[in-house]
Amino acid sequence: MLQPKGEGGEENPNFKWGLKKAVGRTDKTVSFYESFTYEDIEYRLFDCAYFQIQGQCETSIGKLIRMYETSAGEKKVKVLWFFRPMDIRSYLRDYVPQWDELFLACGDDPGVYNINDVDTILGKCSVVCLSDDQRNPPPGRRELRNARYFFSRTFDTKLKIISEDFADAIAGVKVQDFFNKRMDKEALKRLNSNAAPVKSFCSESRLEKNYDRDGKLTCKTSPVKKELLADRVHVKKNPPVSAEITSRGLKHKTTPLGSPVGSGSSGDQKPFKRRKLLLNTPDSDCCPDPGEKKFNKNPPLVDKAQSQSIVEKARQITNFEEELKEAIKTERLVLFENLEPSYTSVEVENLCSQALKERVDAKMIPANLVSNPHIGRALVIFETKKAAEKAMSRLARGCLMLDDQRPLLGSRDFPKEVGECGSFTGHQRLVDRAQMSIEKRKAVSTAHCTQPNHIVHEMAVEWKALNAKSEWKWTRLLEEEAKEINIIFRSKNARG
Amino acid sequence: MTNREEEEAQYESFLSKVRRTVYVDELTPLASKSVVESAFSQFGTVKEVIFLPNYLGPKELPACVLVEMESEQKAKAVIETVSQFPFMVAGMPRPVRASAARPNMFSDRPKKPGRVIQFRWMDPSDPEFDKAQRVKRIVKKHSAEAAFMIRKQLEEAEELAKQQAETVTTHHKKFDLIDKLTVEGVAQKLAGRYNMKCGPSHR
Repeated sequence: MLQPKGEGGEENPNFKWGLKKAVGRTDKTVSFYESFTYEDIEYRLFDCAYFQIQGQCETSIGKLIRMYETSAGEKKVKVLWFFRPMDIRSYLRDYVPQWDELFLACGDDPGVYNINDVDTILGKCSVVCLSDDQRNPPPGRRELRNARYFFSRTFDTKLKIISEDFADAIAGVKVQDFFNKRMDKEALKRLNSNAAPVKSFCSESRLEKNYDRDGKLTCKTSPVKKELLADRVHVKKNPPVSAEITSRGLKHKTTPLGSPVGSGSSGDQKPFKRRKLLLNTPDSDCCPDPGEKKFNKNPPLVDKAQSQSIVEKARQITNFEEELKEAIKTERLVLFENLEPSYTSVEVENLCSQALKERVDAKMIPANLVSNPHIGRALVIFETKKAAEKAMSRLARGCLMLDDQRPLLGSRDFPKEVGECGSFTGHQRLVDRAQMSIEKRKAVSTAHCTQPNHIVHEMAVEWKALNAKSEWKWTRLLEEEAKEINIIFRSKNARG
Repeated sequence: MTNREEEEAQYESFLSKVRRTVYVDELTPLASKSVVESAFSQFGTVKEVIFLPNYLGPKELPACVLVEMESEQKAKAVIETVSQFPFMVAGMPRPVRASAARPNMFSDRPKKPGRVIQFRWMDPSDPEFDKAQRVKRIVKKHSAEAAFMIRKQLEEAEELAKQQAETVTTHHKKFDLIDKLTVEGVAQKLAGRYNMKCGPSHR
């Protein structure tokens, strides 16, 4: 076994290579390995691990796809990255990710993988693949239970799309190695491995040590990732320790083979004990970052049901309307009016976190033809009733001016419940259904244009006339309203 | 800088999606996604159907739906046909209404590239404060006006529906009567009784 002495860095007594796999084809002084032991944890090829990136709060997660030592004695790992949903937030489109979902990087662009020093590794991470791909063996119960994250989709760094399809090879590694390992192979490997006795789970003292090191470690991350992150500087301002870890608090305790690091953050260098305290504090007083909000909506998984719930969660889509009902019941909902209509929900969330210092869940109400096109409205759900009331009174007493001279308006004037509509005005049964032939009934249910010689046509034209009338009314009303607003603005400019 | 370009490209692709999309309202809330899809697939391939949520009621409001077609031309064709001829979806006789979609109708729209929202808090000592409060009041008034308009519209629709229902029932009765006269031979019987000639059947 090689016990190399690093020339570049100092010798690390915590490091030990495992089984040697091969030497480099072009450069014989480079040796490749199948596993290594670092700080009492054994890493095998295609294991996943946490990495520390300087200047970023969140750790990065990557898969070790190659491990080797250069002639200079530098111990390197080639890492293929996973993206957190946060990282690719602007490319999610209509896909709603789970809080514990990751996306495998793929594509030809640089940034899919990197070569890193071994000491940028923070700890092992268990990631399970839930893809329906035929090449992917379904994960075992034990794996599922221990999994901290799952992935079922790839993110192409070049095309910037999320896809369910896995290419045959990513970064020169065949795709089978990214899927779950086959059990027998795993067992064999374990037998063959002639590494020194290894603790595959870790003690608290080790964790503590790891966190103390956090600040010093550096790591090359995917440039793409950096770039993706660049436009969300606010993320860095608020160390996102809390929400994520809190929601996983239970898991920490129940996971027997858990991976060592929850989420190391360079902004947070508190020792572990402090951290543990943090784990037990309620969510409400931490992390005002809107991007993190999804985490605390999912209660921590209970051990027994976990294997199913992960799979279920992978399919389920979070339902805003359910949330809305809940928020109305607990009086956490505020209706924001007079927003610039083109604001997006995320922008409103950011606005709230900056102006009101509150973490909220916001949704712009989509415009339609029976709404004022000059006034944007948003439903904003606050964390607590108190926060909602505070925001309301601040908006009423003071005045929050938005960029183009729009004072924001908060109101709680909305119906308690919008039920389901039973019947639709204007659709009627022309004759008794019972007397109608089946053919006719079909005609009603399928869409069609009316024939001019039918009585329905006449009635439809009446409806059209009504529509035209109301359209005209709306235009008139909006004109008047625009005038009223303009008068105020004009006098404003005159004085200002 | 590349980030900005990406944003712009993304926004551009969103806008082209908007141009492909038709906004349809005056639709029964009972219509399902598949009904809408099959209704508009008569014009071309329907790529996506998005129902706009009715968060604030009233529940009687007609449903609004965004229908994404395969191309801009197809979308235009749909709008043209539907606004020219009364087009029924899942019920008669109230037709649906179609118009071009606007970006603000999409709830998952991307943000405008490069925009940063500016804001500032005003306190009562601010010279503009009074004006701002006035704008607030006016906006409040405007949303009340909009709510009133919507209610009024619903009432009008209700009225028209009632009136039409009446017309239909009277028509139905009339036709029923004529039906009975001709098919069941009531007219002939009466004619025979009063010794009169009746209709083409006797000729």
